[in-house]
Amino acid sequence: MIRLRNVTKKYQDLTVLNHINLHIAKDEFVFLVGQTGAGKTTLLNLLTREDKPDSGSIYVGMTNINDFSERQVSNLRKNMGFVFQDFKILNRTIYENLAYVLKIQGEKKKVIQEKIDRVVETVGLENKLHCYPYQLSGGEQQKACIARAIINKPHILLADEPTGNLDPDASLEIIQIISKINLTNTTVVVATHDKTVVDLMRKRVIALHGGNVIRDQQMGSYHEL
Amino acid sequence: MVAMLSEINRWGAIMNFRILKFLMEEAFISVKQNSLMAFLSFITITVSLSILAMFLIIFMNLNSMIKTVSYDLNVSVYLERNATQERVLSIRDQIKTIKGVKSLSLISREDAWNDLKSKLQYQKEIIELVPSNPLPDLIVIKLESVNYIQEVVKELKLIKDVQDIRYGKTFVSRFKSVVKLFNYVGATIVILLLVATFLIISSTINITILAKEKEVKIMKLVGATNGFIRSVFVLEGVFFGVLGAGFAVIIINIVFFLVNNKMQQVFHFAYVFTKHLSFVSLNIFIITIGLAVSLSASFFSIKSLLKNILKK
Repeated sequence: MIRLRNVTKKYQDLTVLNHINLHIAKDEFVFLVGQTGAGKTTLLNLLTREDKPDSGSIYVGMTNINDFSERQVSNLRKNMGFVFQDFKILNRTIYENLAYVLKIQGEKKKVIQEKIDRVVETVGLENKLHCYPYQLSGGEQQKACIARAIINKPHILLADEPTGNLDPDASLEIIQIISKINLTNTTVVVATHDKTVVDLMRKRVIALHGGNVIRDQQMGSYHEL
Repeated sequence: MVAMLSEINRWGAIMNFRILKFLMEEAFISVKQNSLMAFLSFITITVSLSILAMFLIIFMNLNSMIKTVSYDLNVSVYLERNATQERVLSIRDQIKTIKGVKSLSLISREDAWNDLKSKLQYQKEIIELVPSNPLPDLIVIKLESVNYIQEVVKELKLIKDVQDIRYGKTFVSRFKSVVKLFNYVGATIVILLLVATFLIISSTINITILAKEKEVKIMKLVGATNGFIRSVFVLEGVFFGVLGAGFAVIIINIVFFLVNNKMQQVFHFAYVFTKHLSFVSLNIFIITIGLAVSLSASFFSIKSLLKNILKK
């Protein structure tokens, strides 16, 4: 599903990713761990083509996304979901936040309703549809962010510190929802600092340090055992 | 994955009616969120375009007045009193050949004297004081255009037995100078107002773009192209342009309807306000200018500011 070949990314003289080689299979659940500045967010940005590597290739499916045109990048992103630490929820009701994505895509009202009904059920926000973000807890706002990310049934879900602003209980709930989404044929990549969550889930862990992959472990933990 | 991407491509490039509706809704929400700046933009464009329209109407009317005055402008040529009848007719024929002369009429000194006597029939004592006909022969010339006046007068001065030449020289030249000055002042004011309008709309769009940074980021991540994102802001600019121009058109039509009525009541020559002017063309012109200014201001903002946000 995702393959990185010898990917290097520098910002001025600072090497953020150094000759990275990775393969993430379809429907896999992967944690990216490492200290701040290890290159986790940069890696996610390369996958969404927000940024381009200085060298190396990134394949999503069978296609090298480095050479994508603006239109192709647009199509790539329509097939990905994104979850952020700071939620990036608009100051509108949850329904409007979810409908916003679909309206941009020109979906019909009936389809919008159906898709919203489906995702709010998945994340458990059925009773909060007409609430504004300030009326919700952090966990609920993150649920809304996840609902928005999966509204188009993406094949890949990328999450950057999804539990970074949440208390332990809410963090567990969020990661369980993401895990549930992973079971619906969605490849999941989560960049996180949350030791508890990583250790609990026992999924594949890729540890980055100074732009290098220092560990790639199936059923891994936050720290090397 | 390739098949999956191409399947998703179905809504990629098509700007359908629902997307257009969404863009309009977003522009409206944005106007509501930045209501003070939006109101300023709207007022500025309305005032600027109303003044532009007012200057245009006055300009067109003044020019039509010049045309009317020029059309009625006659050149009177007084001949020497001792010129013979043959000489008078010869001068008349000579004048006919001058370039720019449309038509002419000869008023003989006898006809003029008889005319004067009939006008003064109740003051016969005045006539009796004059021993003989003191009036000269007169040739009244109608010109093809007022632009020929200098050349025609120059030619007339060369003709022997021409005693005096009279025409409304001073009035026409002064009137033209006033109109010229008015046009320069008007054009300067209108240009300054349009620049102010451009800057205010541009600032409004800048503020909107900064306020919508989060939306821009979300739009990008759900696959909206840069062109699509730009169109959200362009549409907002267009909204100001069309609304402001629409109000300017309403104001101008009402004001000139009222002024026209008043002029008819007072001076009975109000036709000059509408005779050479199509209000439909003027309205279309004002809306076009409003659209052009708002569109260019939007594009200016988008080019400078949105580019940086889209790169982030």
